[in-house]
Amino acid sequence: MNPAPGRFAALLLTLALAGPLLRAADIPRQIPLWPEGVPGMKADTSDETVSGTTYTHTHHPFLLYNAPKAGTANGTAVIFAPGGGYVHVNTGGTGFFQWMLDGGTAVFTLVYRTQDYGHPAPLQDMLRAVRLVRSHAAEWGLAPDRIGAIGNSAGSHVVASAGTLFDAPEGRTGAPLDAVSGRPDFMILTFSVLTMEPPYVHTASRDGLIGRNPSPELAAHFSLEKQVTKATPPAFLVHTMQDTTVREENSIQFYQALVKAGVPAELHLYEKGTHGSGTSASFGQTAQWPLRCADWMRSHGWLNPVSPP
Amino acid sequence: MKLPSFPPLRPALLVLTLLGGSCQLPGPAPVVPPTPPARVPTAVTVPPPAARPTSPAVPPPAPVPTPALQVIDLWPEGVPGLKPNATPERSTPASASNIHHPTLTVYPAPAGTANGTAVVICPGGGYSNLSMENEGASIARWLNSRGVTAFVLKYRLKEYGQPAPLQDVLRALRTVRSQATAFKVNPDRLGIIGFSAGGHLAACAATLYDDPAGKTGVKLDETSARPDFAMLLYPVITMDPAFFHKGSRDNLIGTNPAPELTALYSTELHVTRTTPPTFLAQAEDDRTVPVENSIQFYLALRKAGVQAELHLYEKGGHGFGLKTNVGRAAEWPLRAEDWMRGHGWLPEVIHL
Repeated sequence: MNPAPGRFAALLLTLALAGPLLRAADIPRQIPLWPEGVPGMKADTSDETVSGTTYTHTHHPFLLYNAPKAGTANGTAVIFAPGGGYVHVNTGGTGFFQWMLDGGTAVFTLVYRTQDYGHPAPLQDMLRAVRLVRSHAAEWGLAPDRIGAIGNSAGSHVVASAGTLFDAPEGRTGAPLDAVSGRPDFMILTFSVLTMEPPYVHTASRDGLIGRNPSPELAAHFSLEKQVTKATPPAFLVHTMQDTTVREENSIQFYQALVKAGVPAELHLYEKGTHGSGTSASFGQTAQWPLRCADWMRSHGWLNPVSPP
Repeated sequence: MKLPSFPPLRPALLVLTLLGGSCQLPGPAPVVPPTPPARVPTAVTVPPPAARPTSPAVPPPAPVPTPALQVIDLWPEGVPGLKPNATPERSTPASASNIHHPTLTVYPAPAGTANGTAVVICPGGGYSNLSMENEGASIARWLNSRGVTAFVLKYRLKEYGQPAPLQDVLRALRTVRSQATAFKVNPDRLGIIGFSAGGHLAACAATLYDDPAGKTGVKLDETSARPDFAMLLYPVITMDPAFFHKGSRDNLIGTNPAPELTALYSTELHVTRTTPPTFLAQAEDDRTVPVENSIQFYLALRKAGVQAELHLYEKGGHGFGLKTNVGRAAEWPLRAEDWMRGHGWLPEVIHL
């Protein structure tokens, strides 16, 4: 007599009873974005690779779930788009956003498609990421109206694209999930690539997204300071004078557009700090930007635990 | 409370001072000025203003009666262009207007905490009046609590228009720097802080410190008027109608100024690599002075390679000073302190 059916039934019963207690633990560690098939996927995906924390030639974009510190979950989730110049995606482990986890916020790191595909793949991946998390919010113990996004360097361009072009046709693939809003509820933009036009464009990122010689229309379309409307989500921006890789004007022009459109935004421009995460202690006040960001999130109520239904 | 006011004695006072005599008004015991200044400041006792809470991290000062404050007459040789038949200044602890005799009120850092840094404070008021408590005395007390000696500037306004305010602020900086030893401050650590139109004046000091308009042909002009650092709070920066504060523009250069005057007093146009390091903070929802003022000055500093830090908050409106009920904007004094420390103007501790 095979004991397995009895034990299987016992397991099912245990899971059914314990289900409600396992909410956050139900979130998978790695979540493919396009289970139905990646839109426009190339025939040859054999070059997809990861080296350390750097993902190159991504053909199967995905999310990596990072749980908030045990017992602190506040119901807010943030999708993190790392930098990499639209050439690759360097997640850098958890160092960049550990402060968010410590504050009770869940972080989903997005490994998005880059120069192998170019536009609109990164935008599609980011919008799909927001739609996917939002559609699972209740099940995952998250608030569907507290799904933010944080970007670093070229990742900020990905985030701000979703924040401005969330309704663009190229962000839809006809899948049922298109019915769920892909607009982040708030944006955190650090050392950001935001424009695609000279003189402040980061040319490597531009090349990776729209090619070396894009039409003026395409460059304007992805110059996100030109796409801001009053529907753009509230934003927190940080940049430094010493960033010679991505010019501060990217952040300043975007902020000016937010002001003009009446979008609430907080901007911190510091003196010290080369391009990157900005958290080195040698950068002085700059290294405290995560504290300012947490203060900003708190002022909007996003760090208050969501009341249970 | 009103200042003891002896208007008929003021001209007599000036004459006596010019004669080189030491002159003290009758009444309450006069304050002994620091020695040895070449020119003797006029001693006028000022009743101390009521204590107010300062920045969020600082407990309200204990209600200990403060000693009478020293007030320095900026132009003992005579106010340049003094209007004949000048009517009395209107003055309360909160506000001053109709200024004809600009002064500096000294707030020394408490002995034992003084770090040698000094700051001249330019209150705002649209070049029409001066917010002497919210953007003057309370700022001085905050700076004192950080070991900084502060000087509240009472400068001439719309009754004179340009170049009087510029003359006054540059004379104030030259006065403090030339008497640094007597004030126990370091002449290389003399900063300026300005609020609203006072921010415009501070930005003028930071950019036009060598301008002929700020000189009157006396020996003191040889003392540098360049601030070592500047802090600008919700500042008026430009006279450009695109984003000016009309009242400040009208009161400083008139309602239909010549293009040269508009250009001279648009401070974003005069930033060079010798402009001092600058800290700026403002609120996005400022309906009085557009936040573009701060952005334009920052962009000019950036273009010139001058170190600068900018904090723009979503809310706070205009004129928040040291108010604590204005949301995120209330943190600006902590950020200013961190910035001053980063540059070595305050001892090393970082707020978290």
